[in-house]
Amino acid sequence: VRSERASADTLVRSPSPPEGVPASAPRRVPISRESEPSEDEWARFDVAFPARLRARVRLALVYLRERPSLAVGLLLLAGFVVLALASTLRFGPSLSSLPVNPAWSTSYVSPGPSPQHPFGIMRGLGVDVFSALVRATPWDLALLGGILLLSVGAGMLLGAFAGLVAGPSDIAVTAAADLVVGVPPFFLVMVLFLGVQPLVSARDGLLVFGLLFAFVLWPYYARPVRARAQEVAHEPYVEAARAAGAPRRRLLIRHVIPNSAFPVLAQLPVDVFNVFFVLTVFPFIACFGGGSGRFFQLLSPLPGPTFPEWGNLLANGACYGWSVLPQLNAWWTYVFPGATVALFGFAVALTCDGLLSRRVRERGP
Amino acid sequence: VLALLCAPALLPGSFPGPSARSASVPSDFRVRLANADLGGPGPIGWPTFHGSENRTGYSAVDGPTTSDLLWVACVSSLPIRVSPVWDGRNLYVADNLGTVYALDPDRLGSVLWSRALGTTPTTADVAAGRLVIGGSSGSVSALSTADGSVLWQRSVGGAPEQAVSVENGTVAVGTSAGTVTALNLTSGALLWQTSVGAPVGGALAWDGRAFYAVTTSGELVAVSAAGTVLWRTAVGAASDTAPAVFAGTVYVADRSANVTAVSAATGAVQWRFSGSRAHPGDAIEDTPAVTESRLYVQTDQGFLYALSRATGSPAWIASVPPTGYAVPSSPVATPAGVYFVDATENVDDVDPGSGQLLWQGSFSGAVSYSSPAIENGTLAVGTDTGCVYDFGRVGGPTLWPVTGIVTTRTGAPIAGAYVTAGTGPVTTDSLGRFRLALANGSYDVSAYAGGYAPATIPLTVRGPVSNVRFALAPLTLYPVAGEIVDSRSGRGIAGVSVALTALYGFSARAVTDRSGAFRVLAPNGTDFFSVGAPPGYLGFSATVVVSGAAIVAIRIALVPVAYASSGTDPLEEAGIALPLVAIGLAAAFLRGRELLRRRVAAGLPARLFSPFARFVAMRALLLPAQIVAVLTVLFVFGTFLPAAALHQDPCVLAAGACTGCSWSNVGCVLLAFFRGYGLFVTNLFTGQWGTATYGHLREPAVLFLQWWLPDSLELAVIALALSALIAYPVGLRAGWRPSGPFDTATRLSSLTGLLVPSFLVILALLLALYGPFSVALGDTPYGTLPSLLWFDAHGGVPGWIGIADNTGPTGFPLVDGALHGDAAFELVVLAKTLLQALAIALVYVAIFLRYVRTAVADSARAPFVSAARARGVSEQRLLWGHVGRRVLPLYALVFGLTLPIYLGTQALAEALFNDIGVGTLLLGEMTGVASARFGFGTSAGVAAGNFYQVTIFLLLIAVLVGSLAADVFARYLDPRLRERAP
Repeated sequence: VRSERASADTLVRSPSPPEGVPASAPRRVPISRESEPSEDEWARFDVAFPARLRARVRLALVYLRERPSLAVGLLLLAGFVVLALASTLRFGPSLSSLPVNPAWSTSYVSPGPSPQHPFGIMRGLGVDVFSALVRATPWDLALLGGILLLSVGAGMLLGAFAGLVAGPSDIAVTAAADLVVGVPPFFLVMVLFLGVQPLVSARDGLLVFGLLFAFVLWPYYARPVRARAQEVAHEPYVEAARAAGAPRRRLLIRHVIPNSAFPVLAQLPVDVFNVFFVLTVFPFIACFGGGSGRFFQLLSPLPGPTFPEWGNLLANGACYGWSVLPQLNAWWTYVFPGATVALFGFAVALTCDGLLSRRVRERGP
Repeated sequence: VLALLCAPALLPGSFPGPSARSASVPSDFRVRLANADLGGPGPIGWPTFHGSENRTGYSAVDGPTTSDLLWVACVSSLPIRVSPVWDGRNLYVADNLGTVYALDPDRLGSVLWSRALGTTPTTADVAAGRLVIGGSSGSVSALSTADGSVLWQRSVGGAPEQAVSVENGTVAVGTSAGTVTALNLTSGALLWQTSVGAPVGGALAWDGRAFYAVTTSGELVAVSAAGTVLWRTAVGAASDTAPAVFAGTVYVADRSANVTAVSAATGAVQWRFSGSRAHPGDAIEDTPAVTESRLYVQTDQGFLYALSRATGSPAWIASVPPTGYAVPSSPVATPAGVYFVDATENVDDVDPGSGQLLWQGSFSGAVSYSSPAIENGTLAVGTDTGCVYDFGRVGGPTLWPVTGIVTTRTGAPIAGAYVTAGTGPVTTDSLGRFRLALANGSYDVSAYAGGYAPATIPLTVRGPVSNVRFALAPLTLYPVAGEIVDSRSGRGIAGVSVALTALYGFSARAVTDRSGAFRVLAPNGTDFFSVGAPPGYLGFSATVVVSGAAIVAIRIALVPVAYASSGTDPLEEAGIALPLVAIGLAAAFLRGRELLRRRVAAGLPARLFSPFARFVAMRALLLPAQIVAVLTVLFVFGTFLPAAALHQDPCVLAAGACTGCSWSNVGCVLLAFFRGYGLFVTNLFTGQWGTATYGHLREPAVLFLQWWLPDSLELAVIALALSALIAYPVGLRAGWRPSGPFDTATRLSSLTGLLVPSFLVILALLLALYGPFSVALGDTPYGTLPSLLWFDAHGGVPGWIGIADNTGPTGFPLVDGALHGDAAFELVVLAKTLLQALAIALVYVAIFLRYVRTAVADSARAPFVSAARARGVSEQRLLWGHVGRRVLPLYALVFGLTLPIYLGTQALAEALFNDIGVGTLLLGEMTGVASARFGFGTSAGVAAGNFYQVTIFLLLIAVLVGSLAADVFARYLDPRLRERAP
């Protein structure tokens, strides 16, 4: 019993240490005093096999209970992932285009929410809003996940490297990042995409768009990570590891990146905003400015106007459903897609904010 | 910064002067509105059933030529049977229960207002800001076109069919009670009433002299403007359509399929065509469309007749398959097509010459009585399913050829003369002929030729115009004489060529004689005088002002080359300058080393410049690198890659520096790339930015920026001030007590503002404030300037507002409104600008707070705060005085960081608010580039470039310089940062 308690104690102090992190490298995720388990909670730890695993699960639960926003955020994200999987399984190959009902697309009124169509109908596109949003979920998760993973990975790696290794490579990374950051991401993506778009087929448009976007966003991660890595590089444990002869790669991967990565969490929700801004503005201009299919294809990364994508649905909803006249204002055509985008953003933001402990969070982005 | 960047391009000389500009946009909607407001049968508006009060159904502007559907607006669940009318701005329709809708054709038919009258409408007319509409319950109503409010309503004792004569300010109403009643257009007061004996079948026609009414008993009655019956003539069978009157003849169709031509002066029948002779039982229930040579009319059995206007004999007959029911919708004629609606739910465009079907567009719903209206080159029809279909294409109106000749007074043709109608001038050919392309409108066409007095001819264009003749009077020429001498000896130089060039290509040349004397003739004005360089001398040029007298004693001393400074060769100059620069640098270096040694000796750190100075220098050095990178990205992605993707000739990029270059020829492509890149950069920096398009306007891009940059700057200033006003206290309060209720609320609302798409935030604000805004100010929140309807209600558009909504003299609407003392204008503009600024601030402050919140909290917990608190400084003073001051540099930094986001938000807000500005221009240009992708290289002024590249470049410069300034400013404000090494 005593030894189990001791190991649980260790776990509490360092809730989720990555394997192999030396004890001298503390994770910058300290917990507040309130999260220290009470005597009651200690008593509930079971010593039976596999005690270590159970203790971990319980401690994770305690950790989550201390951070309700993280719990809610993770739950929402899990919900989106489940929805995406279910949608992929259910619709399979027909996922890439929405079933359009011509009667709805030519209809003037957008029928409102009803039991058959819980989120109503969107005229113009001629789709059921709910099923369109469900079909769009896997695409959006993949697109957003891809863009964010790529840009976060590249930004973290380059930023930490530049912070650790001062000198010419630092100057190069900083200058490159400054160049890209100087340009509003919205315009830069548009310029780049308008340039390469004639070179790619409509089918590959989304892939190219994602790559370009990741290219535009990486400096937003690299810059804060670099600033943090500069400090971390002079922490005693890094000095110690360096003195012990650890190669630079090991310093980077084991010490600098894990300890300077957290500013990424502050930037992630802002980039969810940036990506959806562009994804919505493209089709909105296309719809508002003319609406014909050819026009859309010249301007949008999507393969077609009826491609299921949240931003596209939001833009078309705002374009077809919005009116200042109450009798013509079909709010369901744009509120539900907008709410989906916002909910997803909330999930990301809550998760990120939860992962940042309070002390760290207050350092600011 | 943008203004400074634009300044060189805005200097006079780089684009046509203001006088040339003001008349240069005939297609502008202000002009359209002005014409429509005349209310008369101008072909530009479509103010009533069948186009004009003479009911000819003729439009000099071509209608659509393909079946492209521009928009469909289904406004009602009831049939629309009244013809749409158009006042040059909005389209008005009414459904069968008398609900009137004003649609905005420029916004895909979105409904501007609606007004329920509760009675089946008959005919609608729009004139002088009023929409006059009859109701079958016996009333005539006049609605304000601005908001649909009922201005007056009057009962006329029978179902009315009316006509409006604007010259008289009269609404003439024919009723089912057999009377013709005249009402005052402004007040609705009864002017006179006359009986015509039987119910009036259709709308009245007015030819400027009399009203013509057809009765159901088959009589055509002419009623004078004063209300007396002039004549009455039997036209055969009963009729329930409007007559059409053109060139002194009234044309009536009737239920026995007769078409009768009656003299408007006497009432005598001129000819009669009987369609029932060939097709027994056929009937006509529509009004013929009348052109110069022909009449077009549709019958119930589905025949379309083209009749000679002079004789009534059929020129051709077309037919559609009979479907069992008739469509009493009247055809519309244009120079290039005749449009009619058939019973198979289609609109057909047939060739006026042959009757062949050109195209067919389909409705998903029948059209019964609603006749098509030609609206700015598109065709609008109401259907029985409550929709309005608008066929046509986005694009300008028809341009008519205007041709003519420029000669001297004696008739000799002048080649190379300039002719302009306010647009870019054309030059005459060797026979003095010219050709302009003009849209409908009134112009002052001017001809200029060197040595002749310019002449101007006012011209109203309503179709092709030929044979415009200019006979230019020669100007009096005055002698300009003098001598050219050697500056050393003072002796005349022989054989020197002297040229004098004046406006419009005038030039005179002479060669000095043996004594160095010359003499040329020149007209009044400022002339450019140049002296060719004889061997061994430098050339000379100057301006000469001739003002009504000879100039005889010009003495020009030419400097021999040997004595002139050898400043002609830049390399030579550099050769002189280089040693000087080297000496200077060496001296600076030595002096610096000396200073450094002294600092070290005094025990100071071994550095010459403060960290702050070094930071500023480093940061400033980054700027050129950034600019070069941006230029490269813009050229490669905006110009080079698309050209490669479309397999265009790479030489297009280099503006013809090479020819016939293929993409596999790497050397040639590289050459074209670098030439094109050089050209692109040169043009960008010399203000040669080509033209930009916005709606129907196509103008030099510089002009657009000059018009619209002040609007954007004004909005930016107000929006940023508003953002600061919100963000500063809120951020400070939230950071003061982290995790307190205020902080939590701020954090949540900031997160909401960030994650709810900015679109939705702006649209929601618009939705919430649209109603109150419109009620309070009598105008919609769109745009910055008040709408034309608002101007209509407030005494018209003032003269200091130009095309494209640019205001004079400063261009800043708020400043200009104040300068002109227009309080009502100022109020509306201020409200609109504030609303837009609020929308921008809502989005931007959310993002801004996310960045500053936690950093403020850091400052609030700094030791100096505790120290001050211990000294007894009050909390308020601590918050606003101490911490408030300390976070200012931070705010500056975050502002620099979020400037790109701010600009993106403003561009979106401008677009959503339908406001003019650089953002709208940019988005419009980008969509323009995308849709008509590849016009570049031919017409664009940025050779091998597009205007969106210019706009983005300017925005980027603004961002780069802005963030540089923010960085430097923050360092400057914060002494700790200032001392840190860069």
